[in-house]
Amino acid sequence: MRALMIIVGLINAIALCSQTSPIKCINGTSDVRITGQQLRISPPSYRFVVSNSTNSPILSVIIGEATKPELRGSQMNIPLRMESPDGWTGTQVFREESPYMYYWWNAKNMAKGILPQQSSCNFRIDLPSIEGLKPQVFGDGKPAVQVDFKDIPFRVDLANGAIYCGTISVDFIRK
Amino acid sequence: MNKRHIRYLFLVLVVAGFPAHAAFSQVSWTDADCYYNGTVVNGYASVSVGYEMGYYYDTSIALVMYDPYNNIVAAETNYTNGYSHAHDDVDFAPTWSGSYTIRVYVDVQIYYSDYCGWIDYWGFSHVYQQPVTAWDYYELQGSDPEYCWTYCCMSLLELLADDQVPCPDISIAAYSPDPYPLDIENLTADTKTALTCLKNAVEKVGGTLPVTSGYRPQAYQDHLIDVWDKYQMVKNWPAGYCTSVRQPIQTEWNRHGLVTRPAAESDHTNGTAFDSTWSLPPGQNIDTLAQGCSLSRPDPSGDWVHFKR
Repeated sequence: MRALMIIVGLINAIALCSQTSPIKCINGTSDVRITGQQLRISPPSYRFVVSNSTNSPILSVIIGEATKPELRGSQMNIPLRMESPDGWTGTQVFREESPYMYYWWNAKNMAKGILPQQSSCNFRIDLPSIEGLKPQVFGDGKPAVQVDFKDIPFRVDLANGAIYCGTISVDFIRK
Repeated sequence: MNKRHIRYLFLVLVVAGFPAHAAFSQVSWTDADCYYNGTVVNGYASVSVGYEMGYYYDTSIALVMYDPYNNIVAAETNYTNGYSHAHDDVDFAPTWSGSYTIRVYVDVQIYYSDYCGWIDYWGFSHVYQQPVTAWDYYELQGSDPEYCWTYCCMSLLELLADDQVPCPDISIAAYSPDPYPLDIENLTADTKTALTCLKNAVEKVGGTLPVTSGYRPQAYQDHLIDVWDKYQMVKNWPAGYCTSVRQPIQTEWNRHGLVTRPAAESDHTNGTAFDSTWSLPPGQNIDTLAQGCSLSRPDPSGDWVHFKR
């Protein structure tokens, strides 16, 4: 009888306790902000300011996805050039088995991270010109448009292991 | 009781009026932090449960080990009864390696106690080469002084977060250059010809076809698998826990943009496939163009950037 109780209880416990925990992404706070500034309309150029109001250094910055990929890995979104703050490296990363990509900057070591209560502004992306390009569609039929970073999601990794997510606000050049 | 070691997790949930000897099924469990991810190498888990103030007791302990997909790979239960200062041990030796989750369920029933007190859990030693010395503390519940009971769904991760506990030995073997650069040259001759054909066809109709991955050495493919596997082990660690272990793995994860566990054997490693996104003028179809170049997409609904010769 006792063994039966244990088995029944075990099965029930398994059912109730077996949910996996999602990756924790702290969202919707102003503790980490990324603001973009359009430097040039064509070919497009953007600079980003990353502000850290947390209590741990920022070691990694991803633009183009937070918890799910949102930036298309099309030719028009592949940077001609990426600039990075001193001690950081920047590159584009194509997501495996998907048409998506993101821009990724990584501090070479802990000391180069963006410290709490500090900002860094030397994140820059130069994109190719799309002037004269005929309308195109992606493989799923959606119009192929070049990213302008407005409301594009971002994700940052902190030295303490916390992950913060949000969306980018952009100051555009008045046409 | 050293309060430094007391963690008021309060994972105990009880059901009012819970009858004596009723099954676990009537208990509501809390799932908060009820998991631990780590590496199984060798060894065994030993859980001791005891009380230091009571009388006769019944104790059941269940340890359940899950693989990353929540399949049960090992389970063990134990039941004892006796008097104070006793304990239960549950041991089992895993025969596999990889990411795992382990949960501990404890059912303690104390009879003829003067009051409902507390239970110490100690001796979480030998938990897969990560000795744990922390103590946890659970309030006993129940209004009947002759029959106290408690049910716990306890987190080993919380225990392992103790400063005294060494971090798990998890790391990713370095690969250089990382990432492996786009390599078209080592595709097979037929695949290279087909790729050139497709690029020309796409450009001819006014589209673009950036290639994102070509040939990969098997060692690099193995590295990608390693990145995937190790990240699964650390991704749910709480902030602040063993960051020196987690951070390099997180960096590798960001570097590679993995979506699923890479295949052990890949068309990329034998040079017969490449990955590419594309954009085309409306009305054009990539598969039609690919077919004209002896290429196909074997899994257009899944790995839809994968072109195979």
